[in-house]
Amino acid sequence: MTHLSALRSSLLCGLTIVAVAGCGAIHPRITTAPATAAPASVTAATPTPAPAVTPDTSGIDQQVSSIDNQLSTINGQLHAANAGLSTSEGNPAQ
Amino acid sequence: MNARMLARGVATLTVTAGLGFAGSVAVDADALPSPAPVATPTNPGVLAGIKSLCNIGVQRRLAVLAADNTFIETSVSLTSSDQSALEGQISADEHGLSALNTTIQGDTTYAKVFADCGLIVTDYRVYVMEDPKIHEVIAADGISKVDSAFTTLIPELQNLINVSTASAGNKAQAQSDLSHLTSKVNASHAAIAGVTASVINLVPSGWPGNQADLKNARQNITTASTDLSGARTDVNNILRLLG
Repeated sequence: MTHLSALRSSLLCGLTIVAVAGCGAIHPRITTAPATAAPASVTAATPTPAPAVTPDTSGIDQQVSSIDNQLSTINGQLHAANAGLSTSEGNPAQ
Repeated sequence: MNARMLARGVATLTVTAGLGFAGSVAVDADALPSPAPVATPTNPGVLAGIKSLCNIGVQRRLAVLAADNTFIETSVSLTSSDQSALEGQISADEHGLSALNTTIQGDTTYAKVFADCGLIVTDYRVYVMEDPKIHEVIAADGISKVDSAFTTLIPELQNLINVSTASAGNKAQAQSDLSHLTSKVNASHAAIAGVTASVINLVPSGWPGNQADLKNARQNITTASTDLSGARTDVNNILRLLG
């Protein structure tokens, strides 16, 4: 009887040790979880609506201004070409 | 008899040059006096006068080429290859004209000076070919650059229409204007295709036949430019409609 009790106690003790050892083995994994906290935005329950997209009209104005300058240059060059095509060149001293 | 012919020839050149100074009357090359016989004694004063007129002609052409070179160097529209090609052509013309002038100033007979002076026109065609050609290439490359600018602008205008809070009627009209703008830019792109290539390598020896190429190029550039002006007006309309 004493022997059986002692055997049972040994088994319980062994199981306890295994359990404790197991817990010890698991515990570090839990504590080594990522140290950095998740961003607040990720954990927020309610998504924030994206701001409305405002067209970049200043960029458009800038492009239009550049186009105006280039059109003006084109007209000037065209005018100069017209002058050459409207003349003749027969006189060396011309 | 020969002396009378020579005197008439010199007088003709002098009058022709004088008209050239006025810059308002064009004189055909055929009007140049025929070379005087080599055996005719030369009058140093007359010869010097002719050389002086030839020098004036060279300097005026060099001035035109220098002005064109400034346009080329400061242009923001020219492609690098076109810029390089035109600069090379101008440099060759400048060197050639300067060398020709040196030759002319060393000529000792009427016949030689008349012949060499004529080359100022026939070997370079600065006024009627080189100068307009340069302006056309700059303009044509400019058209292509504006086409590209519109290609960037069109989707931005479309976005502007999409997010606009203007009335439905205004947005519909703006959309119609944008379609019109796009068609104008496409038309400009089609009109300018191949224009630069058609003129950039024209040479004086091809004159007067290549004058037709220059005139065709001018027409295409004018058409493309008109299309782009129409597209530009559409931009104004769209921006006005959208507030």
